Amino acid sequence: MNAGAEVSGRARRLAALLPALFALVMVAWPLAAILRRGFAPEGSLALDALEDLFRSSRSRRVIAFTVEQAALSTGLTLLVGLPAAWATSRRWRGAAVVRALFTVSFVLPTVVMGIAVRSFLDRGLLAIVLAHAAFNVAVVARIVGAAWAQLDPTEEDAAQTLGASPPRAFLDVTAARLAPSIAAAALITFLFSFTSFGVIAVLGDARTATIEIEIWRSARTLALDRAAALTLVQLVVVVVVLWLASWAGRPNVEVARVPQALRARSPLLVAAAVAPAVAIVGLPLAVLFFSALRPRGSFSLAAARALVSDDTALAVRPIEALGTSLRFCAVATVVAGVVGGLAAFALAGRRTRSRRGLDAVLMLPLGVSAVTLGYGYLITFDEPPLELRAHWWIVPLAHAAVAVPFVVRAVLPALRSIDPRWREAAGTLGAAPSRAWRDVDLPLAARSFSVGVGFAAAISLGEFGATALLAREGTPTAPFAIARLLGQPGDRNVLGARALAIALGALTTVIVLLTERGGGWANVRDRRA
Amino acid sequence: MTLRVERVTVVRGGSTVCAGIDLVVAPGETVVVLGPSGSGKTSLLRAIAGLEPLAAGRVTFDGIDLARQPPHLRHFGVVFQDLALFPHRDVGANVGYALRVRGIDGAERDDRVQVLLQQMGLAGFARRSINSLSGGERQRVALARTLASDPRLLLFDEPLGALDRRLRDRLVADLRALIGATGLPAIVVTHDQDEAFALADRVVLLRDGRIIQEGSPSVVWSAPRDEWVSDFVGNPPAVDARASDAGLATPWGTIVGRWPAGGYRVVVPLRAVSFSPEGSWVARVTCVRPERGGFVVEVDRTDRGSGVPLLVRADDPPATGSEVRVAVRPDRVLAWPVSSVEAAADPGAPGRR
Repeated sequence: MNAGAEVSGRARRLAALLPALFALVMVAWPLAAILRRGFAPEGSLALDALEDLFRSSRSRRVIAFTVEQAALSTGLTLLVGLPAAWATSRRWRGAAVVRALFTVSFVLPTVVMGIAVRSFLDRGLLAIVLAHAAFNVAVVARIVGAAWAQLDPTEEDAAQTLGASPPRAFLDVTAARLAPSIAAAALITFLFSFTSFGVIAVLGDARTATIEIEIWRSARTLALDRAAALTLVQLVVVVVVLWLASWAGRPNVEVARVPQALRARSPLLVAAAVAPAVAIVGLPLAVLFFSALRPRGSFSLAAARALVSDDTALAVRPIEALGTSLRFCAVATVVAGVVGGLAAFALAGRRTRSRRGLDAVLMLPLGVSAVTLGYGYLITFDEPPLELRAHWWIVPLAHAAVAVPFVVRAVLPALRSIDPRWREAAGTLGAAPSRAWRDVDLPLAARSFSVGVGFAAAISLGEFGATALLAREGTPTAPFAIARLLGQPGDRNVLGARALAIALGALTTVIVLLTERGGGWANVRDRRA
Repeated sequence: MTLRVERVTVVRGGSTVCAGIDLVVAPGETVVVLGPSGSGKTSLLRAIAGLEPLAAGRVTFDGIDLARQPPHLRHFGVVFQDLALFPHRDVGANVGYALRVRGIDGAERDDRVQVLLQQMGLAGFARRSINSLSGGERQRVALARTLASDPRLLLFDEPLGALDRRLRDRLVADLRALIGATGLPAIVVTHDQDEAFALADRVVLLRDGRIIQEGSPSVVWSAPRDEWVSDFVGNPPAVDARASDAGLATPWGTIVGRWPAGGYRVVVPLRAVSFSPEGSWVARVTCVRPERGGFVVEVDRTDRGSGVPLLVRADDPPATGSEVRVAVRPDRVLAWPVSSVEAAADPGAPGRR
């Protein structure tokens, strides 16, 4: 639209090439392979697998339980998360610490939270729901909290001067205005719980099989048509929930300029509001630490020793799994950063049909769950030309595919929120379009990119769904090793799992907090340039 | 150093926002493009800067057609509406940006930035963040940033638009002095008639993408071409009147003078009426309000109210309810035959922000 100051469409088209190739090979092809294997094994459409699935009472039970646990998790999350959302939308001393705790809880590997809850609760529905809530209070606090912070309190005052009692004013104004964000947060929580794998793998028992667990089992036992049918059922539910979410209205989570938050009037009220959320997130982690430090009723370094012990159920020493995770994480982060960054740049231009298509395919791993993706890789990359299955690269590539949506979603709003007049101003001051882009867009998006990449690293470190199908015994990742150790009897195995979980959790926390800070540093450096 | 805009048409989103505009800006001249929001003035400015493609017509500078010159090669300094300061750079880096693009580095750039900041009364501001500045300071940073690029033409889009009334009144004089000091041709786009008359050597009135009237501020002010222009430059609302041999019959009384017989729309500007014992109209004061160093008094006829107040300026206003005599200067009354009013289309209030 702008004659001179717009980045040329050709640059964006060029940037889209690599992401398009990635979307095609690493996402669309494996998923198409699953559908073909399940519904058209001989080339023509055959829905036997779906029919078998719905005829078996066990499958119906699995589907019902998946919905039940997701609904219960969502309920508990809202119960605990909404007061916390109010508290995080206000200004008070210590708010930053609580926000940081929520950020950490959200990016913590699922198996770490799983093992933390398991250190004081038996396997079962309660443990699963508790762990899901521990993850998702952060989602509710962030989405609803951001919307709440933007509400103008004078609107409620206006309602009161018009005759509404304070509770009535709250209901008519604040609650009504927050309803879309609450609905969105609830649907996202439901989705995460519905497709959850790591938590249920660690905390579930024979009675708590979910669709995701069943897909994994079917894939492992090579019941490929059953896995495909389950995948389809899951996909349908995911699509319906996502459709509901878009219908509920998209709350603006990425707030460019947060208005000055209101000061909380009563510290007691704040404490009461955040206490349940802090407890549900913090207690399991505290117990995990404590149980690792005091394995047999007295403090000892046994956990640290277990990390380097040769004598566990693993084929390698636990610490080596951490090394493998780091190596995979490095590869996955670079791939996700490059693909996601280029994709965000390409998508930030005019919204054409092909760009929307690329966006949709790249986002697919968010919806179809990592186990499904891993299963797709398993059946796609087992023959030439892409016989990746035997190569360790396949695991970090799967991690990257899962992480790309997060990089894109972190960078794209930042690129789109850049005022085109900044670029035009640079243009009238003598900067050619490419130079203007480099001086304006690049530094302004750097922070979001840093956050997105940090998130990608955290995802790779914690990824368990695809890894559970693709990793090999000889080179387990840390989450894989933790789950394996937990599945074996013996104190040494449990202790090793706990020690590994703490190390992995600490590593993830450090990376995420550093990249959020790092973005800040990049910003400061540029300001001085 | 002459800018020529010839029959420039700009189309945006399928609708024509500038329709065949002709405009010449001579060296050292300041032209103010005045119009309500949506009149196409910002699009015209952007088209001159090269930020908006031309659907037709051409823009030349020093006789050279700029069609193939992208914005970054035109050396036109633009001060954007809301300024478009780079939020991720400090004051010094904003001001020095044009120098940096041109490869002027280190001490030389710092020196020139210092000099500009000094000129703008912003000495010591180089390391300040943009977000820490007041409205007036941001304004001056934007000016300094533009001047640092050594422009051959200055383009201002609502330069004082973001500021509050009192600051605008103060800064408008500064801005005039500054533009004058550069000796550069300048185009200022604004919706505010006070700002326009204070800055302009020449005023161009824009409405619905077309030039309605053009001339020196005093001409546009004292002889608006039609009722719409009169209203837009701040005159009282027009009333219906009828001309006969006796003069112009208005709701308040007859204005003695010679007008061809027929229906008229009439505006009695503040400068056309005064309180005077010799005044031919007898009226009653309905309201007194202070305005700009004096008072504006609303009066209406004594017998039965006409419903439309007549506005009179006064230094010593009479009391509300008192009876006064009002004198009208026929030569300062604005009257348009009704047929020409219809031609001007939509005499309703112009959209003002």
